[in-house]
Amino acid sequence: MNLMKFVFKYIMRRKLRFFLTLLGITIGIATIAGLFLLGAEMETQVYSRANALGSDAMITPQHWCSYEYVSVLEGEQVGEAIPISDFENISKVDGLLITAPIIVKSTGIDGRPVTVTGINPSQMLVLRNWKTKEGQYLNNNDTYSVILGSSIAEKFNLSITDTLIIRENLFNITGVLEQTNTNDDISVYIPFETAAKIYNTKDKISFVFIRVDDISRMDEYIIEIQNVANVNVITNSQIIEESLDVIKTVRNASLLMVIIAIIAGFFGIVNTMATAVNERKREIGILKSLGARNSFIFKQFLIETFIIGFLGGFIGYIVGFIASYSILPQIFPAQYQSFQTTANLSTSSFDLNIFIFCILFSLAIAITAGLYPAWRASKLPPVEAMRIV
Amino acid sequence: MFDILVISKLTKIYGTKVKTKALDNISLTVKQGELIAITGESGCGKTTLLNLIAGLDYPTSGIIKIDGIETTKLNDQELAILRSNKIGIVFQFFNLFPILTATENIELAMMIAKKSEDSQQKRAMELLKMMGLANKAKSKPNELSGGEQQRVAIARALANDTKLILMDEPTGNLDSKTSQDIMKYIKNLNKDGKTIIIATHDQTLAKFADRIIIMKDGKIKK
Ligand SMILES: Nc1ncnc2c1ncn2[C@@H]1O[C@H](COP(=O)(O)OP(=O)(O)OP(=O)(O)O)[C@@H](O)[C@H]1O
Ligand SMILES: [Mg+2]
Repeated sequence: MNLMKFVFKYIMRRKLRFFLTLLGITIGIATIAGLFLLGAEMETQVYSRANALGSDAMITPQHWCSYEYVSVLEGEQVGEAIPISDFENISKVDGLLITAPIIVKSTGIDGRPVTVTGINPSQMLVLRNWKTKEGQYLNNNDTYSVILGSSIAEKFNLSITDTLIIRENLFNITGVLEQTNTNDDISVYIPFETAAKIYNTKDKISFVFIRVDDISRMDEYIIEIQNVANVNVITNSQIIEESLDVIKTVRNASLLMVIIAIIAGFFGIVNTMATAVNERKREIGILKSLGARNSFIFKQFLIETFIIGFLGGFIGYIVGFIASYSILPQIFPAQYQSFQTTANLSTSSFDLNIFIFCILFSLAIAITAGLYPAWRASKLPPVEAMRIV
Repeated sequence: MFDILVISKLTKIYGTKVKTKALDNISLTVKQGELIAITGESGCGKTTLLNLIAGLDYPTSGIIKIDGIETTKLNDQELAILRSNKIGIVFQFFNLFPILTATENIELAMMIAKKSEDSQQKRAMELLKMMGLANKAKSKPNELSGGEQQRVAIARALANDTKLILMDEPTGNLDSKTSQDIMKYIKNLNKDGKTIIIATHDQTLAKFADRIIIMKDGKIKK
């Protein structure tokens, strides 16, 4: 016999109670792990998507805030508010190598929503460095032509021999882009003038990607752009910052709820251990009469909570990992859809820091919860403890 | 012979409002190797006396010396160490751990005394054989008869090979045939050199003792 075996026998005697207590702390830890893993993955995504934009900055309507920048990174529909005339003035500003106007709308294919991006074909090609897998890239003179992101072509089984109806207009599919593993894979692209017409955007565009000749002169360009148009200019690093802020805000709000789960788990452990001490008073008395010191009794109970804490952290991390693994695809549809065809999903990967944090945090919670009951058990006077039959 | 236990002017008063004088100025000396029976009617203070000797409780006044050590001056921790090294206890109600097998119950006492697992196993097996329980090694207390449980409890008290063994009603819950068997075990232990103090109502058991101490109302009558 050793202390571990002894403690284990007690755990085995009350399997269900042990399991339920463990469940309480595990749920709390799993939510924490899931949130952190998701957050970490979302941060990585923000960086890789901002880099994938290929631009140096974005020109947006004045009123845009963080959530709209996130929408851009996610390839979601946004409103349009920059007049084409403003865009034309901006294009004339010196030092801007590329000014790519964008309209982001959506359409249905086979009853499923798909993003339609109105682009300037040649500007966008330079920006994104796209390759055409099949057929031809859009020509600047094209009007009712569409080129498909690779995932869209695969998912809806479309090729250059097919046509596509967008807003009751017939479009010829001129080509399919090569896979990029970005949101570009889950959109279809049409000339932005056509988009403005069929979606009746009243000569307005959503935003403009720009690339400059000298990034160190960005501040000057921003002033010049704002001289000719009432717009906001945001650099890629600012987009990243704003998007990370959104992620942090969401995470902090969720953490608040997690804390409640943790508190519930904490009192679950306190309750279980206090009950155990009560139940085992007599046995504590016997142990003492056999010569067990207070520290022995204390250790016995603390090892029990230690095991709960360790398992709670360990299982909690794994559950959180699986949860974030199954939630991520919903949040990042591009990755998910390319995954369906190419098994190239960017999933949350094992994160040692978060893992260690979960275990230590769970241990800290469990041990704190177990301290008082264990201490009380260790201080029980033996004769009194044994009197209970 | 060496005095293994010296008690002088021991008094124990329970309670603060309603005071019960469970022991009243008791003095007693026990020599090494003696088999002593303490008898007396229910409530006369036998269990109280054993508890105090075992250091499970503190006296109101008086001194206890075990093996030359004044135990009434020791703190909780020191008393715990003293118990695992010098005193084996057999309780009135067996007090075995229901979740542990016979072997494990015996090993537990040695585990507390920090014996290695190897020596625990060896010694537990040896004791079970000696008590005629080798075939019950893996049985839990609820799978054992009263007499068998009591023999496991005795084996546990012997586990750490302590000089002094205290027994509170070792035959209290047993029929007379089983009591006889237990008495034989006790007598044999005593022959092997253990000092044994038994608290009992059982007159036949008391007759086995070298010396019988009769208590009444917390005092020693004889
Ligand atoms: N914890 C306690 N608090 C108050 N009174 C107590 C306590 N323990 C024992 N007593 C009282 O002290 C007296 C002696 O009790 P003790 O248990 O020592 O008797 P005993 O001789 O062992 O009796 P029995 O033969 O029935 O086991 C009794 O009057 C009992 O009521
Ligand atoms: Mg008694």
